[in-house]
Amino acid sequence: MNWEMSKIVRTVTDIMVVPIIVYGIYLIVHGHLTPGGGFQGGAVIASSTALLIIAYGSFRDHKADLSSIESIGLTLFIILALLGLFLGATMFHNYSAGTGGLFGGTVPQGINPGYINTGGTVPLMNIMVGLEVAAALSLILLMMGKASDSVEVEA
Amino acid sequence: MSMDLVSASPAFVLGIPLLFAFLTPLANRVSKDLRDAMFVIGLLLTALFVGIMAYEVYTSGSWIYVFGSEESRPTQTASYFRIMFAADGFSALASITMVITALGAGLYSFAYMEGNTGMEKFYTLFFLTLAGVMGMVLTADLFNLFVWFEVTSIASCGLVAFQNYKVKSVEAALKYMFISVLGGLFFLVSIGLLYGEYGVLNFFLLADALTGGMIDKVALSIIIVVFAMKASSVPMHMWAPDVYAESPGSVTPFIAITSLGSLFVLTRIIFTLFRYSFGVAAVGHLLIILGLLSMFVGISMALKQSDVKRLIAYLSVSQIGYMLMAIGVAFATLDSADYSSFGAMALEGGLFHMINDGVYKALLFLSAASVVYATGIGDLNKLGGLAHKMPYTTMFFLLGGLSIAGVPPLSGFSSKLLIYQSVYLYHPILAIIALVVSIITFALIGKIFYSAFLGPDQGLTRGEVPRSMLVAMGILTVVVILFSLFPNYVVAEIVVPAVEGLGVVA
Repeated sequence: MNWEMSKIVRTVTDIMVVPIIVYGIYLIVHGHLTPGGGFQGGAVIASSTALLIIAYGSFRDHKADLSSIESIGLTLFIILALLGLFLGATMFHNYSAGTGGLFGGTVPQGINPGYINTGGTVPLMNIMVGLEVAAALSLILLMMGKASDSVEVEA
Repeated sequence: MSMDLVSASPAFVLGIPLLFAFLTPLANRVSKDLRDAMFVIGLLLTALFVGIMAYEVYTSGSWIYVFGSEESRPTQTASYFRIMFAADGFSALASITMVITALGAGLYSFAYMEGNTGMEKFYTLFFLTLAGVMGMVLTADLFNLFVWFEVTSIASCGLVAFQNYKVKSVEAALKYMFISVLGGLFFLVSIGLLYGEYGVLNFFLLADALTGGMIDKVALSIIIVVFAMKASSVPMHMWAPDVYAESPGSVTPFIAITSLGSLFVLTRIIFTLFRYSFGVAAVGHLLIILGLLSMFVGISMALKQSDVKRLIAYLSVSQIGYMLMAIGVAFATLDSADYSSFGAMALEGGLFHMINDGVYKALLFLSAASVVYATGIGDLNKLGGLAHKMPYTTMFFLLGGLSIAGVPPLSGFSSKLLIYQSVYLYHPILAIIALVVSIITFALIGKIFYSAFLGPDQGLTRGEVPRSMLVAMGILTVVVILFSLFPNYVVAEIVVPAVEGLGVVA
């Protein structure tokens, strides 16, 4: 593909990509407090890839990098699960909840607006899932863009 | 709050393949040698933890592993909202079968798959399938079982279609995918029915809750059909020959092991859930009929095949029949005095046959793959005289073949003898059909051996297959020989705890 959309579309895309990614990150890191989480946030981030592909048409081949990000996300997820075993008691054990470290805050009793620095390993796992999903869905979109690449455009 | 590697071994049996599944693509960015090394290390570590788990089960009894809980061996199952793994004799037997076959198929893959690009994806799919079948046989939770069922289905479909430049492989994978998705969705419906009725998914709690009403019967009937289908039992066997024959030679035993895994799951579900809700005789007779059909139709279809892998695929369908029949007889006699007189023996025979079948069938599939690898021909009418150039493969094939035919003193004979003796007491005709099928199996093995290996050297191959493939088949051969030499030991140490693990006390 060597066409691209009009300058208006490209400019709006450039502006919109930033809030889309920020919103995706918001969904991921608030996954333990509000509706959303790793999968949903990752899908939102991947939608920015879709927007860029549509607006610009051409893109560099990032498949190997995306594939690595995906593997890193999943590997870290399993390592977090296994850390539950080594630092806690069993696999997937939430060893860092309420210990005061990163995401280790304790939740006060009663109605509260939601404290982000809580949840132990749950938000960390959400982040890993978010990485995986964002990379994997972007990869699928790139593959699909590549597939249409091989079709001759009718004059 | 302390680390306990022995208690945590069921988690490692699942976690190690998952971890290495995602580490191998990363290792591939560093170097191909590192990637291959990771593959072997992952397989060996999985085998190590299966060994640790089995040893612990056999020396100090079974336990429940609860994911995410405070203690690694909770004394009471109050935390039943969590995912549980049952580390008992039955899951030990099943995971030993899986891991032996995985080691054989994995080592064999190195040389066999050489020249294919994207091997890191192959290793990922291989590890994911391994994690899936391990999860399937270890889990004690219906919904978790569905998750592992799907993981196994998707990953093994990827393995079948890995050589996607072969049209037939892709077609077989498509067929396999349809069957798996259909089965998976029906399984999900039945889980929904049971969950809606009782609000629990855990095997043990569900067993206590089941009342035997209409909904139970519908749900459990769907489950039996789905797993019989995945176990390639006739009349739901149509996918198996295509998938076994068209998948890459080195993964065929691994695909066959997912079928065997489904049979393990079916056995566990029948013995933990069905006995409290159905009349045992009805389910037992259904399984006996499925078993007889599988044996007879499988072997009849095998008679007319000329492709070596397709022929062995049909033999494999007929072997599934032996296990279904043995389990059916054991289950039908469960509530009567017959159980202690011969039902328990049928169950032991069935479970012993499962572990034997997993190993010798892998050996048979791999030696058939070696024939195709060395000559490029799978048609028995065109093969001949391979014994001159491929003495080791000939020997491996003969050993696996005689074992599947149940020729004494090989391991297949020991387990089949247990089955013949016990099903004869239930009804003589069952044992007669089983014997006839064994004789035809022997004849078919003779046919393959005669037409592919014997006769004058036709110059079809330059020589023996690469050494790593011989080593992989050698490992399986050693296991077959060990099982053949010490059947009493295997039954006493591995099979009897598995029967106890099913919660059946004679």
